[in-house]
Amino acid sequence: MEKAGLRRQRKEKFRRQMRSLLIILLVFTIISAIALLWNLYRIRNSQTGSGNTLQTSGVSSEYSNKYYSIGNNPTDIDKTYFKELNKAVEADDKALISEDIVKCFVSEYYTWTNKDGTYDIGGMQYIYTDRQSDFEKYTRDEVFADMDLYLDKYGRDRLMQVKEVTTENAVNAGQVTVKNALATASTADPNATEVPDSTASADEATYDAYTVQASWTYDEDTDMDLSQAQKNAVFTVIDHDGRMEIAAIQ
Amino acid sequence: MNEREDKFRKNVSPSEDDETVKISFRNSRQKESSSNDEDLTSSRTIVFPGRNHENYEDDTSEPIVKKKKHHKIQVRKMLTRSRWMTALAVLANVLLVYDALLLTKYSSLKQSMFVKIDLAVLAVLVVLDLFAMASLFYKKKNWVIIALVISIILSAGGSYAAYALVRINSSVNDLTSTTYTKSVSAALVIYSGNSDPISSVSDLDGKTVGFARGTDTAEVGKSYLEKKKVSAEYKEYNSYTDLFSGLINGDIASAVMPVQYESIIDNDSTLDSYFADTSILASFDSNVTATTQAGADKDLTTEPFTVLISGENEGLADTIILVSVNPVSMNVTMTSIARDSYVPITCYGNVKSKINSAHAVSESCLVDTVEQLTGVNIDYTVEFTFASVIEIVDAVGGVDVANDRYFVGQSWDIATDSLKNLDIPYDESGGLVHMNGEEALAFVRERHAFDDGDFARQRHQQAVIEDIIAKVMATKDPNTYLNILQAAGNNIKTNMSADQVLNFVSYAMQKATRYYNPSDLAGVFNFITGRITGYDSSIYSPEYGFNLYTYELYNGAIEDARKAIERNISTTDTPSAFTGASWNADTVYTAPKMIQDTYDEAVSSDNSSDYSDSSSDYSYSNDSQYYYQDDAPANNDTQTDTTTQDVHQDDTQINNDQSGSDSTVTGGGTDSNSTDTNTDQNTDTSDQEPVQ
Repeated sequence: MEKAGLRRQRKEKFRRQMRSLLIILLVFTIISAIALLWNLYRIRNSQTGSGNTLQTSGVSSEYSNKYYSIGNNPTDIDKTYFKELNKAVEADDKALISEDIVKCFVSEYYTWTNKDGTYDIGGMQYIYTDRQSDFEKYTRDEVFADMDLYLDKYGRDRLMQVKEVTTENAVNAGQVTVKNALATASTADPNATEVPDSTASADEATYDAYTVQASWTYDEDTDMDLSQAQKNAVFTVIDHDGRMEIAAIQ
Repeated sequence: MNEREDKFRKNVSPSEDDETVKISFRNSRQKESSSNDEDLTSSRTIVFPGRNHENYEDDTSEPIVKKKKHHKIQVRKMLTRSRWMTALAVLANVLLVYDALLLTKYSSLKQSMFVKIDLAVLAVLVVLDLFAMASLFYKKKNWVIIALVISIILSAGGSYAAYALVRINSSVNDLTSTTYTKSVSAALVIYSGNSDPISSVSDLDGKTVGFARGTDTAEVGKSYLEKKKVSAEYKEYNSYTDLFSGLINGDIASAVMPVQYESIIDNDSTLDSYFADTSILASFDSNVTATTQAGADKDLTTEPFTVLISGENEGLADTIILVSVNPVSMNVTMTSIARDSYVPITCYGNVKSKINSAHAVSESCLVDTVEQLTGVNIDYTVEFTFASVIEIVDAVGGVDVANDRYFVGQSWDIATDSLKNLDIPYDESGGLVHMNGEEALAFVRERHAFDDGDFARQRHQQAVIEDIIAKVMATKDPNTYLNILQAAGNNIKTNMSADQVLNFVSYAMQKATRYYNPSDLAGVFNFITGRITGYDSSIYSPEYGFNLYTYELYNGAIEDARKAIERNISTTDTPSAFTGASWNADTVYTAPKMIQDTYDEAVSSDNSSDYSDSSSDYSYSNDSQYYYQDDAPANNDTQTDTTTQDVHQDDTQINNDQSGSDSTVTGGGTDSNSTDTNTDQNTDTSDQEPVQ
């Protein structure tokens, strides 16, 4: 009986010890969970400076097709023109696609009310892909150069916004030669114009092209002086391996 | 036989080869546990290897005793294992939570990523703890063992992570600390052409030893000579070039210079021919404590800012790049200033010298000099070393830059702390080549292999900086971020705070989410690069009898640099009217140059009349303890506070008439024991300075 009592005591002791361990673990689990949840709160509220970035709004899949996607924070007319582009892409009508990408480009590129800064260039997806960085550099250095000052001075909502874009029928321009991705500033010939395919150099490529005459208007409710702002241009749109892309704005 | 033993007998369950016995202490209704999942308080299954059932039947009392003992042992083992498992699980909890908390310091880099890490740690710990608790509750031996093993692994991982994070935190603190210690290597250089040959340090007793004003090597050298009980006269020079010239000229018996003195003055074609006849008499190292000025209190995500980047080599600024950043346009101007640019040095009383020598006095002297030169206020400084280029480039996995020619470059061997030569990758067609840290360092240092010499070097430096930024922006691996921070902390000094740096990186990454090209996130920055151009010139030293090479800057270049930077950091300029775009892919766009290559300005090929004796031109009030032999600090541990030097420089009473014909420097309160040569410097500054 004495032995049985001892044994029971031992068993009880064993159980107690195991229970203690369990409690210790439970306590640490709770402490760890609380610490990590508190840490999560810290991360979410960590100071990242007061500079804001315009949040990109989500858009439905209807604003994307097999070639193009609509730009960040699209305006209503961006959406309208993109829907037209969708139809043209579906119909696989190159001339119509050319006209519609010009509309989409103009409405995105010349609208600044939905731009975050100079780096945020609208319509880049419609530019000839081989020379996108070239166009981007040109835009940032020369076209959008003072966007930061406009943003500071007037605020984003008071900047220019395209109201309407109209295009003439796309005209088949035959073949045009453009620089490809190999071309660099050092190899560039500033006097180069369209040349026959047979003389194209390694840093050039020739594509079928359309020209599209476009004109547009701006929303008048803006603080920017748009008296000298561009309101029309002729766009050269090339068939870049099946994808229509803008290769010139003149 | 008692009742319990009787119950025990009934529960005997023999196997084919082994004798398996189930012992039930509490009741026999409980299920028999398998040998792998024992419930130690309710029933026991004990296996006696090699014994069969018949043997057991023949002798019951002996196994029962053994079984009891065995059971005790098993219970004890279970308890021990459980204790270890609990302890290690607790340790894993503590370490992983500690790691997560430490890591949060960097969460502003990419909040979403750090949220995921925090949630992952939480999930791992909860799963581990629940499993460990279950193993204790159900008293499953193997569960305990599994939990134990997992706890060991997590504890080990957590320990390593804690170690790494503590190191990184320390590195980041070093990176942004305004007080730091640096190692200075100096040498006593002698010239064999001197009439009085020197063969040992003791030969310098009673001789004149020269040093460059305000440099760390000067302090280290003087302390060394004091330790060696050498009583030498000291003569100070404005720059290492002047100092070396003094050595060649026989003015001094030895010069205190950096160990790599040849690389510092190898631009002087008139001097490098003397290298072969010079040698190091003795070299020595010491740690020097330096202090930088605190950076501006700016929110880098809203306010444009400027940064002076300097690459330090043997105390001189080998690389000087003035950077301005606009956080709205994300335009970054990078303006290189040639290290040999011959400009007024503020802490030399605006006497002209090579701009890199300003750094030898202090970083703030370089900052003041560049501010005065460009008219741009500098908010922050970043100073890097050879080693930092190597480590940071390696941390980002190498850089891809264009190099179209073969050359053997001079890099740095971190392990041996010495120069090393190596072949540099190249692509004749001008394509990008991949370079590791050592190759990248050699690439950004090389100028002889390129037609445009120092300008190629400046261009390459800018290209490497751009690619490092591109790599940092592209990385998705938090470990890479931490490696970069560690590499930076080890070798880069900045007066930006850690929060400012992290906030800006985080801000840039937010911007990148809107950028059209996700494969080139660094494209969110628009780098506008340039260099302040000038022309080669020389200045005749009547004292030394030969011309010294100088690089004179164009006023127009300085003005254009200033305009470009001021435009970039302006938030109040009136914007020009928007016009529109005209672009054609049949030509390649060439960005307008920030600074022209040449300017239609009068150039001077020889400033002989401008040159004045560069040695001992100044006296310093209240700082004779630094510059004169009799007052040299008795600092046995050779600790030198360069902050103090700065203060003394600030104390300098300089009456410098910028526009007048006399730059007279006066020093009040000089010590009577000093060998002060308190001379007036008769310098026609209007003639001397092509740069206004």
